Amino acid sequence: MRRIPNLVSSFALHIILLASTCIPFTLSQPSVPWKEGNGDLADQICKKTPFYDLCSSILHSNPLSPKPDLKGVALLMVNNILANASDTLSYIEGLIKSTSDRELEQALAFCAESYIPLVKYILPQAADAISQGRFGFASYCISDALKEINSCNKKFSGASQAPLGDRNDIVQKLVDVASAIIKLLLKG
Amino acid sequence: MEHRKPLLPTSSHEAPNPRSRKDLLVVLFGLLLLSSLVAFGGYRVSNVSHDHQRSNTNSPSPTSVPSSKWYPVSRGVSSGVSEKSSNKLFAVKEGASEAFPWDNSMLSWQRTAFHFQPEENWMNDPNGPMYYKGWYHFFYQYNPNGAVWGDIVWGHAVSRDMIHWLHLPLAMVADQWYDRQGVWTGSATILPDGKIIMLYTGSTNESVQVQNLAYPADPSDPLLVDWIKHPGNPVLVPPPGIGAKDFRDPTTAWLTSEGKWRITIGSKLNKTGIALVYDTEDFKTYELKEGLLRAVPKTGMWECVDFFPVSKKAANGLDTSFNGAEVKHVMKVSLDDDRHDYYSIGTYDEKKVFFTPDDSKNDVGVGLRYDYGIFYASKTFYDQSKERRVLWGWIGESDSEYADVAKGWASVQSIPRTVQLDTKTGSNLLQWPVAEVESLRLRNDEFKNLKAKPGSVVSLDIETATQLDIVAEFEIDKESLEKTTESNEKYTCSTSGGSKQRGALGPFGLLVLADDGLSEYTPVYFYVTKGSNGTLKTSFCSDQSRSSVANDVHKQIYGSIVPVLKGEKFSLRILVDHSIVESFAQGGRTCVTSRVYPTKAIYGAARLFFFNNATEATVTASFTVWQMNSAFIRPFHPDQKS
Repeated sequence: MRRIPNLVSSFALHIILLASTCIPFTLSQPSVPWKEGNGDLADQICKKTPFYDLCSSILHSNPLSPKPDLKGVALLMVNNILANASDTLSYIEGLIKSTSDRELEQALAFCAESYIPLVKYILPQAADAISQGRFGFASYCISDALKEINSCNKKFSGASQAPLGDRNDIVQKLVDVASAIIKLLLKG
Repeated sequence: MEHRKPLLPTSSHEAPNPRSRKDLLVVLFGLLLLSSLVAFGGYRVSNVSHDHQRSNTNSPSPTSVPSSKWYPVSRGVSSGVSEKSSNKLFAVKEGASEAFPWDNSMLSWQRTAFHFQPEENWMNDPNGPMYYKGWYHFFYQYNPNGAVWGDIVWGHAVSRDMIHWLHLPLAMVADQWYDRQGVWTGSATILPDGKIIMLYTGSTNESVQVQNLAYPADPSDPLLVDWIKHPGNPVLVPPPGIGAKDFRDPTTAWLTSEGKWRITIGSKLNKTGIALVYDTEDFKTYELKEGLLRAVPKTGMWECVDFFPVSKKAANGLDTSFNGAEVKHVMKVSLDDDRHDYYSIGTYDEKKVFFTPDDSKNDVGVGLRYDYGIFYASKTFYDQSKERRVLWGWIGESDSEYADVAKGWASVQSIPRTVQLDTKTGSNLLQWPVAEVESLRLRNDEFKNLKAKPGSVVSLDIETATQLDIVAEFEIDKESLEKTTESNEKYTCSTSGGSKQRGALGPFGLLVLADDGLSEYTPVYFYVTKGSNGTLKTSFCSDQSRSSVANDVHKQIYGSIVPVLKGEKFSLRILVDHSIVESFAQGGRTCVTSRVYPTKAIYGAARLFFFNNATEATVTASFTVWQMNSAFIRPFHPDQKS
């Protein structure tokens, strides 16, 4: 038997040791990854966002891949915003059809004009960018999203906050959370 | 096919390779750097065309710019494009003159806050504007090497709202034999399936003008950063009978009823401006149509032809391919000979491939202009997201080339304007700054029913006066209108005495970029004359004659007649943005853009006044003046936070 060089043999030993410690860990992954071992990740991330409770509730109520990472979390958040924004857009369009108040109709139409590019382009492009690791571009998209929502919000500052109620507010908070998460991605 | 993609030059030097471990290499590199800095340091003002201009924009000299004798220089013409330099119209004696001692404070004030311009160097024609996947794209003729025309390539920027722009890497550079002498103007066509076709003019290595096809390398990239030139370029060369330097600026294509795509390209035959027409199915092979879309004698070369439909009834824009009974067509040309943009409204016969103007007096190249000031090489596109037709115009400088090189940049673009038919008159277009510019409005000041007696100036107390959006309405008192005698006076802005020439019913308007002592001011005003049988005629002018004490800037008075219909007040809107003033009368019936270069009425010293220099009329006016925010136009940095 040829003598195996020392370097190779110690290297091989290390690999074996590493593998034997890792495998037990992966086997013990719980099916809901946020609980137990990785419950800290959701907590860690949400603590760094401006709306911890909202962030936490979303991450805990959504099933995720076995190995959740920051990128996956960001993607989940953006897709959540997209769902919420699409919903809000349908709601706005429904309100427009049912109202007879001209002023309200104009303000709602303006908001629809803000939400359409959001749902059609800005949020889907943010999601694509995150999947492709283009976090800078995703960051631009999210700040554009914030601008659109803010301009809709401004239309209703004052008396008649009623029509969109909390919806716009929630979407805005979600975007703030997503923005914070993407900033973490850019740093790391 | 190698594709250089140099980023727009930024002011940061590149750090030397930190990983070099060999001391000798480091020393050698340092010596090389030092010697190259010595060789290329500083800037030279050169009088020879096509010289590379290396402006040292990193560290502007501390106080004043070294003065220099300057000579009028003609660029471009020798290459076969229009006069691109800015100093051929000075009313100054031949030969050398002492330039005004511009200092850096005055020069740096001139940069605009919310108009599109690259970070530095020369820009001219707008190219290939379009809306794609949620982004507005803007390309432009750009010289990466200096603040004068030359070494032209395609710059690129994107925006969500046509106001807040992000600079991207150059889209196309002169890396092929067929665009070696310049990647010139072109237009975008978006096919029904979403595919993007870019047609542009290349000046070949032998300075022949040919048309080339390019398309995005990755259509799924919403920013369309990379472009591919079709391997079979050029797709069009000058046809027989057309000069090698008289064939440029292909338009956006429109569909014919046969399902083919049609484009037009401007040219000339002797002194007659013409538009050639080509049909194509794949944008690679073309059929030259027999007829010319239009030909007008004595107009000279037609550059940047544009051809599009407008609705006769509705305010919205129309896709370039749209046609029907409710439609008129607009044909626009940039005249090489006088550097103005003209448009004509008429009907388009698809079968005969022919455009007929509604009014032969307003034929292509002889009638109405988009803008009576500085506005050239303009181009429209259809914005399908907001269903509007949008117009871009190149606004060159009207100061000296020497000052452009000193300040390190030249030219801006107009604020994009929506274009539609004026349904009240039916015979002209209306242009208006896109609504998105209003997102820049900050606080406002309102002045209601200010009365100005004949020969008076009223100060409008606003905080600062260099970035403004002004909306104003004026009324002449009824008594003066009736009492004033009729006259045969024919008033023309450009030959008048400007705001100093007093008439019974004008001039009255605003003094922008004025200083307290009124040693510098730019009047934007109405001048009303009463003709036979009591009809009023109104001119709308922008007067540069007293805009600056400097001797090496344009002092012209620009403007034109503006139709004022019965029951309408005199209304105007002015966008003031440092060295550019864009003025619109009667909702955009007549527009005047000018460049002004005050030396005193800058920064906090700039003021705004309402004036009435008429001899008889008392003018009542109401104003709303908004302070305008900056658009923070900046490079796109995908690796940094936004």
